[in-house]
Amino acid sequence: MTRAEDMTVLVVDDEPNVRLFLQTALEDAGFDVVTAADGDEALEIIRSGKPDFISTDLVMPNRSGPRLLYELKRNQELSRIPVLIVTAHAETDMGKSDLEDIMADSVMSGPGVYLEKPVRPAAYVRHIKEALGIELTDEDSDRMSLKEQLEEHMKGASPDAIRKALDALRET
Amino acid sequence: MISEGIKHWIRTELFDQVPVSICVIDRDYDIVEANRCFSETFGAWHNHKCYAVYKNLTHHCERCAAAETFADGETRMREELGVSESEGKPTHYLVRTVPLAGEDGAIRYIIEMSADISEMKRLEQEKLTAERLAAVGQTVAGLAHGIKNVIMGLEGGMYVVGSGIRRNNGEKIRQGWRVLEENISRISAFAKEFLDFARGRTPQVSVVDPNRIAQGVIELFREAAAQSGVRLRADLGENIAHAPLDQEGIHTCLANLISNAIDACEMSRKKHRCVVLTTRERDGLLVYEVVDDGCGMEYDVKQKVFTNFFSTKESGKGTGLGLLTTRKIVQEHGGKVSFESAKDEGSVFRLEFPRSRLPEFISENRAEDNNGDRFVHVRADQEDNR
Repeated sequence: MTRAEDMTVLVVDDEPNVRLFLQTALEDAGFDVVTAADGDEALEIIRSGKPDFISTDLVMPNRSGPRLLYELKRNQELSRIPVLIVTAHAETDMGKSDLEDIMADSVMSGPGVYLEKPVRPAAYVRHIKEALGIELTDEDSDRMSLKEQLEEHMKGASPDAIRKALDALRET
Repeated sequence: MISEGIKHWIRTELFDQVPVSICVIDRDYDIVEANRCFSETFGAWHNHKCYAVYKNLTHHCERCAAAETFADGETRMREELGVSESEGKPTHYLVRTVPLAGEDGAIRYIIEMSADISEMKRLEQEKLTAERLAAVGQTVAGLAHGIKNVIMGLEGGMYVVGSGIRRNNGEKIRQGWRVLEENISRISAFAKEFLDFARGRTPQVSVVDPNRIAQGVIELFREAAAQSGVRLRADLGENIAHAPLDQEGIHTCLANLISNAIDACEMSRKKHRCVVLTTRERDGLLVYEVVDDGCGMEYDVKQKVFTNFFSTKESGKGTGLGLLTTRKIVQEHGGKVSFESAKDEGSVFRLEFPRSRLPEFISENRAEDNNGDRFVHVRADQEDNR
């Protein structure tokens, strides 16, 4: 059985506060955590010791998220590291097209998902555990009522996504 | 080949058929001839002075294009505001004055041709208003995004403090607490930005010396620049006329640009670093320029400079709103912001204001005086400098 204690997660974000937050959440769940402030720093860390998982922001100075992912993709071994994107820019001009490009690109093993800031620590940890095949504990459940969960989903959903979902429902 | 019949028509009829008001005035400003369009627009003109017919005035205009053409024989084109007889409301005209010289070369008459451009003016105004509203919209969307970031910060800080308490880890508690403090001060920074935006919605326009605003900003940053080891210099153009500007707004723009330029210099490893604020004017275009030889920007960053809350500065130093605010203020003045930048070489930020698009400055006194008069509009460039 895979254990969080045996896994190292690299957290890449230009905001120290976000790094601290995500690092703490992961450490509480048992993970080993290394952090990087931008894509350049992330690549250095990855080259010196391959992490088991990468959580990265999208919009950062120096080497931004998309460019980091591109670099990873070019290396066969590195491209197998699962990646989670944590961004505040899923729906802004800054990140939307980048994100669409990345999500449409199936060459990489990840990222399959992105989380929109603000992220809930439990949801964040759960995503990473699921991706790594680690058994979930009670603490990983969000302790949210169904209504809260629905509201949470609705908050993140763009009008476009909702329309698509409705279309899909109509077809069934 | 045009037939004789058509030529005759052009010579005799065209004058009355063109949809432009044409009149001929003599040196006493008496109208001696006018076409049909003129009569229909301005009414009776026989034995009337042109300024009385055009503008209901009892003396000739302050800046009279006809008088200037009489003086030097040059053709002139000018925008004027008149009152049409039929509609009675102020109308914008584009007036062209052409000298009619006799065989001896003396100019006894002038032809004045006036095309009504009110509709064009109105559309231009609408476009400006739309641009300004768009700027406000972008800003509000940006602020909402910023608040999202603060919430993330607060939730994160709370989580870290909670984790520290659970694990009895004092260092974590201190770190989390610091995050909370930082984000709470970010909220007050945003509140200030909100207020700035709200106040900036209607620029407080007065007729000011563009160079004086520049000097004020240079004074403000002299000390800060020196402390950062950056030379700050002003290169102010001569003969720049006063202009209707929101003094505080322009001050904010220049302060943002200069503050950014100094930061860019600090991030550069060069020995001699310099920031220059330039002003100049050419062909009715008023230009402010801030040049630095700091760290410059690479492609990724250049794509995002005007995006809300984007900052490459170390955390806590920039709100990512400076250039956005600057662009909003400049757009409200009908101007635009542009920049050029090269990594490790430096950046140039330019504010360009076409004078014809600057906000109108309507003096309260003058507008009141003219209430009884039908000519209520005071053009900014005719206003005394005050």
